Amino acid sequence: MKRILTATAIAAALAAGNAQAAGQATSGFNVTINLTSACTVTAPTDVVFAYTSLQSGASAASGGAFSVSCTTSLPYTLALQAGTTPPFNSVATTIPSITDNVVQLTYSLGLSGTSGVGSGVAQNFNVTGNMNGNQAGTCAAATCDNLTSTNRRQTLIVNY
Amino acid sequence: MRSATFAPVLTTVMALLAGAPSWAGSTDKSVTVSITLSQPGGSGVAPVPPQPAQPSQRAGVCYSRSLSEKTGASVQVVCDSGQFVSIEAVPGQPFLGVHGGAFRYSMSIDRDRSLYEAAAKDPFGWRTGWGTVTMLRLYDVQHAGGPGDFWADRPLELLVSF
Repeated sequence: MKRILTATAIAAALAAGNAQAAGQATSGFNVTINLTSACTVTAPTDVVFAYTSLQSGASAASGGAFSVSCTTSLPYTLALQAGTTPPFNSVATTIPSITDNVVQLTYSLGLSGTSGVGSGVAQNFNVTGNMNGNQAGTCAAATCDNLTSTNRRQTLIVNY
Repeated sequence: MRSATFAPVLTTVMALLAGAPSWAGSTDKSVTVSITLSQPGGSGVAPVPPQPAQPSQRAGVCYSRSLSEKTGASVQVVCDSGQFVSIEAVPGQPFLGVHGGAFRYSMSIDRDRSLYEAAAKDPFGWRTGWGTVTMLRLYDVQHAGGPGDFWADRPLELLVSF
């Protein structure tokens, strides 16, 4: 008898624990996402010229590699601006002529590409440089560099 | 009438807005330009004379190897005008930089006959040549004290200053 009572009590307890919904109401809701598109750009490696005074041919620069990462499908354009003084509002894709104020050599800068569409992954470009031949330059020794130049830094801009 | 009056203005404003950049944002990074400028022959490589057929861009400019204080050092000077000069120390004497010192001087007469002829008229005087040789002095080391063979047949010593 005791066993039957115990079993009955357990069954009642289990029955009481079961959800016995009388009805159901649902409500859909929206997930709102505000995505702010953006681009990031890596610092270009140095644009390097090795030039021999009065060389007859033009000299192309090496280096200048950088990458742009933008939101997928976001179009962007690249621009160059001489110097590093804001505002950076240039849309020019070249800097046609800069004369370094130490070695007194004139060069131009350009870009390997001027626009793109973001893909979510880094896209590679280069800042290109060209230095015409037949420039004497200024150098009081066998070799000189422009490390002390005050106009050796230019600005790369990504507009998106 | 009023709308007709404003229509051109509105059209112009819309055109301007359409033409204005509409960037959502921008980012920037600085680019550093590094330049290494070398003198012709500055690293010990013999200077290359300009090609005679090419017009001179900077007539009268000469370039030399770096001078050294080693005895017996040899320096070649190439001028953009086509002159070619070889300078070396007098045997047994140090080659002391760019000021003073005793140098043996020879030049390509065929390429620089005018300078040679100018020096020949006044071999003991001061002459200003083309290029970096801005001062030179000619003297006869073997027959300096008196007459001898025709002077032009004798070896000449020059003091070359830059």
